[in-house]
Amino acid sequence: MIEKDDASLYAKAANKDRIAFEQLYDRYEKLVYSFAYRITKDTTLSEEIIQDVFMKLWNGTNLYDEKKGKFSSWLLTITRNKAIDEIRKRQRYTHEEVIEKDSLVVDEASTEQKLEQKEQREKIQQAMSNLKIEQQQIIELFYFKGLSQQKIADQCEIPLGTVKGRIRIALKHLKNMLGKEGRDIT
Amino acid sequence: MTNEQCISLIDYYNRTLSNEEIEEFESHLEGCSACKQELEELMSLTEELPYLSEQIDVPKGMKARVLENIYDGSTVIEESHEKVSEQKVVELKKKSGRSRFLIPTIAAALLLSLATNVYLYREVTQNSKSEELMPTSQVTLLPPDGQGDGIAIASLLSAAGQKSILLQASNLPKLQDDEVYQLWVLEGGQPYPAGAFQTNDSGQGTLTYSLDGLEGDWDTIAITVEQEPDLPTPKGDIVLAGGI
Repeated sequence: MIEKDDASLYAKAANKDRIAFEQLYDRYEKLVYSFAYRITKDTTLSEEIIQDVFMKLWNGTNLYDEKKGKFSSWLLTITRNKAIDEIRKRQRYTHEEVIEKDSLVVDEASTEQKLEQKEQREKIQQAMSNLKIEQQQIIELFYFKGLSQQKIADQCEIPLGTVKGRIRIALKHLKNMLGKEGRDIT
Repeated sequence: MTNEQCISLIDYYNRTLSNEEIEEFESHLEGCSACKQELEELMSLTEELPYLSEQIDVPKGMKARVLENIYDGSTVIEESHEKVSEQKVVELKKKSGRSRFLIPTIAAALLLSLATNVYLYREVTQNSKSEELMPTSQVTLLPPDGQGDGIAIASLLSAAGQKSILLQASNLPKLQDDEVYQLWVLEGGQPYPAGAFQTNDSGQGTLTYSLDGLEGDWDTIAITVEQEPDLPTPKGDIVLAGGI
């Protein structure tokens, strides 16, 4: 069971067990790096982000609590926060960027990936591709671009007061799509 | 007031609020069960989204760079790693007890060849032109399990206060395309990477590596097969080792 294993590896890594720490690194290196790249579109910055994320893990700057959810979710949240902070800080990123339609429906998964991650990606890609384009767009702007509510309203040309509701609807539709495929994401 | 604060949930989640606004929202969050619930829901609903990221190949050597920076200055040696190292060192110690008289003939040839390399190395080392390059110790590396014909001679060299290691290996097995031979210097079971090399078609390989910045009372030298050069700790099997 990967999640259980993650938690026990994390516990060892928190006690400065390099073997366990490197096992976690190996397991999530590609996913964390790819996710950081998806947000930043910058390989150098993505490497800095993965280093920062695992540095925090090793030094105990951020502590994972098993009771609050999966290790992978915690790790990816830290990654997203760091990536979004960095692109804002460096001002390399324009929040007015127009989404390329190609980025909304992602290609097939790489064969190199671990089976579980690959399956997860295939399922969510499939579910995402079944959403309306406007819903894909609002998820992209909100989650991957990390835009403010006002900027999302401007780009989608919708009233500010409706942004939160539309994000929730789009995400719930996505969850329902995943549910139809028999995936439990709670 | 409450409604005004509730609308900030998305901006709070996306970290676009100022520090002052974050404080205000967090104090609001304490007493607003609707926002708490929405925030939890948002976290749950976005849990799978990172998996939409198209997988891209990580840059070559990234793991080594990242881990080196993380471990830099770290003095803690984890228990399990210590156990692994101890196990390897036990194996190495067995070999290091070998009489030097048992060195195969090929080692003698290697020693001659090594002398030539030391001379050549001195010639190309700018800082040592006016200094005598002195081997401080020389080690024969042999397979720890006694199997195989591989052999290497490692010399620790000193010139102008700078330490280096010079290695010449022969009869090593051919590696896969994505593999390298990694040299390690060990002190009390703690390994430190000392350069990577590949062999020619005949199984011969040479390496010179500056030990500046690596302080230690080395007791063992070992070679492993690795997927990446200069990892902070060995992952692969030891192919040759010897005690200093």
